[in-house]
Amino acid sequence: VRPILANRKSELELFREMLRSSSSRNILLIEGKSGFGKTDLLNLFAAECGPEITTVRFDVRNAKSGPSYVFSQFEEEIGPAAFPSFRAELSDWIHGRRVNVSGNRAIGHQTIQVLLHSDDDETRIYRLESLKSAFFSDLRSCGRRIVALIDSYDQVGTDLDNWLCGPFLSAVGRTPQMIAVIAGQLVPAANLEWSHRSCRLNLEPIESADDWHRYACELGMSIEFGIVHAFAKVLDGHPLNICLALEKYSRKPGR
Amino acid sequence: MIPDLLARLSSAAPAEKESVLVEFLMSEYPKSLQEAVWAVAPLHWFDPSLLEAVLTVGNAAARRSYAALRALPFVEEFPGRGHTLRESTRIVLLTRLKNSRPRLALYCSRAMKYFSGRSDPDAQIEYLYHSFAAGSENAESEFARITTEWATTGHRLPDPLSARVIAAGLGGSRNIREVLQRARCGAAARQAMERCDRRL
Repeated sequence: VRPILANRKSELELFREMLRSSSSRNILLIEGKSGFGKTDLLNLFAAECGPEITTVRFDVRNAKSGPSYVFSQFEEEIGPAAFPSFRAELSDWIHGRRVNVSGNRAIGHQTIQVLLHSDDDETRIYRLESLKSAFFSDLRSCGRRIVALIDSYDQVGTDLDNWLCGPFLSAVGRTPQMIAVIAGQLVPAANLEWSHRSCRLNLEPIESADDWHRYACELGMSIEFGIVHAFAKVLDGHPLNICLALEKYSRKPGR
Repeated sequence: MIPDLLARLSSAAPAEKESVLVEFLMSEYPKSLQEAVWAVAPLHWFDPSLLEAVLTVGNAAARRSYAALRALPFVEEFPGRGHTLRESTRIVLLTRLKNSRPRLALYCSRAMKYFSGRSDPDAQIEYLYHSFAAGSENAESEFARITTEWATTGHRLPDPLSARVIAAGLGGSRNIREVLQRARCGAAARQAMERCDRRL
């Protein structure tokens, strides 16, 4: 699938600044309409992360089980051995006592989901809070830089929204070796606990015909500047629509 | 052709421009690819196995269709599942498909059969979505059965996100309140289903 980004230099530079640790902010919120290239931008960010960085990606459309899905995604990417406190906490809740579970295979999110199921909201919130504390304690001591890329935030369910917006991002803000990027048509509302650690970007249309012409040439399309200019203008810089138009044009026989 | 396209785009309302583009693009696709694009519009994601079911073709043909679909500019990866139409394109196609109810019902009933009998909640949610979207006469009783099963097995389902997916299958149906009254989903899920955007 071709990316639909003709120019997102400033967004990329901001992410690079975060990666270089030269920013005091480690939460990046990217808001943009459908077809403005949010997913492609996350792909670009993932490609910027070198081998010394562990990238954890998830799409909230898959996160029907809420926070348990988030925990399990991190554990799968980073490895269960990096989460001794979290696993001990989990075992403590499941078995009612501390048992050594280090080295076991990743704990499935259904196990965590069952643990977090309770008709009593107070119990559930208390369990979730203790798991989250252990989880972030492990992340802070695992000796790796971690980038979490979270997509389709506008599709998030209420439970997960409340957790990600509140306890999760607050903990990310206190975890300097971690960067969290959240993209969606809507992104979390600013929260006093973490807003000073965050940047918010609104993806704008890409209206420059120069940028689009360069993009088309890079993809091997032989296309006149005037045509690119006309499409960029009539489509108001909407990235996906311009890409569709260029795709159509590039298919025209004889061109 | 290009002047035609520019003229159509110039006169189209902003919300209709993508629809014009998709129509122009699809007009040059082979019939089999056009059919595959329409067939995946009701799906939240697709992979070769699901394509096999909704296109009623063999495994090799489904894999060829999958490869062709993946190359389209309005198809994107759906992490952990396969691929999907970009959301705005899906809305464009699904809106048109809703004007052709038998065709929509056909694709959804095939997807419904694909997901039926599965025990994992994600598949059950898709099963319910497609049951409602296909207009299956068993959809309501299946909804009541499965939500009761969730309630008794300790799942916090349907959570608001799942509820929204299932409710989307109901579309503009007026009987959503009656359906909800018969099922054992919680108050939060009920509210989510009643208030959600049911386009998808």
